[in-house]
Amino acid sequence: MKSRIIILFSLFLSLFLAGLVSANPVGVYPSWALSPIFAFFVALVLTIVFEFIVYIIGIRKYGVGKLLLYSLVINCLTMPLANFFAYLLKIGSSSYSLLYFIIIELVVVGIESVLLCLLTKRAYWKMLIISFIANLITATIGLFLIVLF
Amino acid sequence: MKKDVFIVVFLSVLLCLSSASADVILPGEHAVKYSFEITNINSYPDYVFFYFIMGPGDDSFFKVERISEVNEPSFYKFSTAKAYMIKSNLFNDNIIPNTAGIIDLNFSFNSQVSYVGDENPLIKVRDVFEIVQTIDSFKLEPKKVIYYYNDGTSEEKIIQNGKKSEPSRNLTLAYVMIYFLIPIIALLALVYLLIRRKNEK
Repeated sequence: MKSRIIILFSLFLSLFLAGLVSANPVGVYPSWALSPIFAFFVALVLTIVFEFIVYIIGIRKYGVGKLLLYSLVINCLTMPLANFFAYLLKIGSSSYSLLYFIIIELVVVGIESVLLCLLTKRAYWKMLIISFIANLITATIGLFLIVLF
Repeated sequence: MKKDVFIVVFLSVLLCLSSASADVILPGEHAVKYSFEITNINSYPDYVFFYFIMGPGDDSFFKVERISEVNEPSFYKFSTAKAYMIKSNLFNDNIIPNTAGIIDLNFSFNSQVSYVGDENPLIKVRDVFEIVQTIDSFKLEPKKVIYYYNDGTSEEKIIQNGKKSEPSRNLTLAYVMIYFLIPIIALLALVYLLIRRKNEK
């Protein structure tokens, strides 16, 4: 099980790095989305779902319903704010887009790990790893959706 | 195990695609058009006001356009225009920058101000100038700037000490709700969950 998680983590880390190299600026919406707002809500739902999956894998012996609720609430808090700061920092048109994107993602990981720790009452360092992997996966998927479409 | 990780990383690196940087407006963005107005242009009937469209990349000009009271220039976004004036009897449609008697108004502009995200309601910026006569020449003095928004409203800002104020609206209502309302609701829900969690002890 652990080796599968490590392989999965390595895959997404590699794809994430590849995505960073090749992606168009973050913050734009792919052509299949009807509008930026539609794209935002699709991204929010995908983020909630994928982070929920990571929570299930990483947080043992915890109610599935509660984990889904935590994913919903935490991402409804962090994702719009991350998008707002991406807008303020002009990610996509600034020369420092990549740096700002990484900083925002790290801040989101920090906040989400603290909230997870408070909600689940599990060890903080475990929640930090889970939050890091969850955000790595969702950031990677987001970047590739933009690149591929 | 290490071999698996290496294979995954190697394959992923092969997947790197080079990004195409096209000369197009990115999805999720729109151009803010530029416009300018010279309020007292009709007070100088003996002169013709015009601009040369230059570049891109060099100072070679390729077109002359006359300036009227309100102007909405439309040319390639990487070109720049420079405004001049000249006595009416010296002007012709084939005028070139080195023509004798040409007066440089020291005013350059582009057809677009910038690109902004679709959450920004700004669609056009208009600079309003007045021609002022100096000791030996003329110049354009900026008086105010008008910002136009996609809901049909506009906003005027007086230019003081040469400084232009920024538009006061930069988010549509929908984005204000997304960026602030959803997190506020989520925060309240989080506080409720944490309090409930604490009481479950």
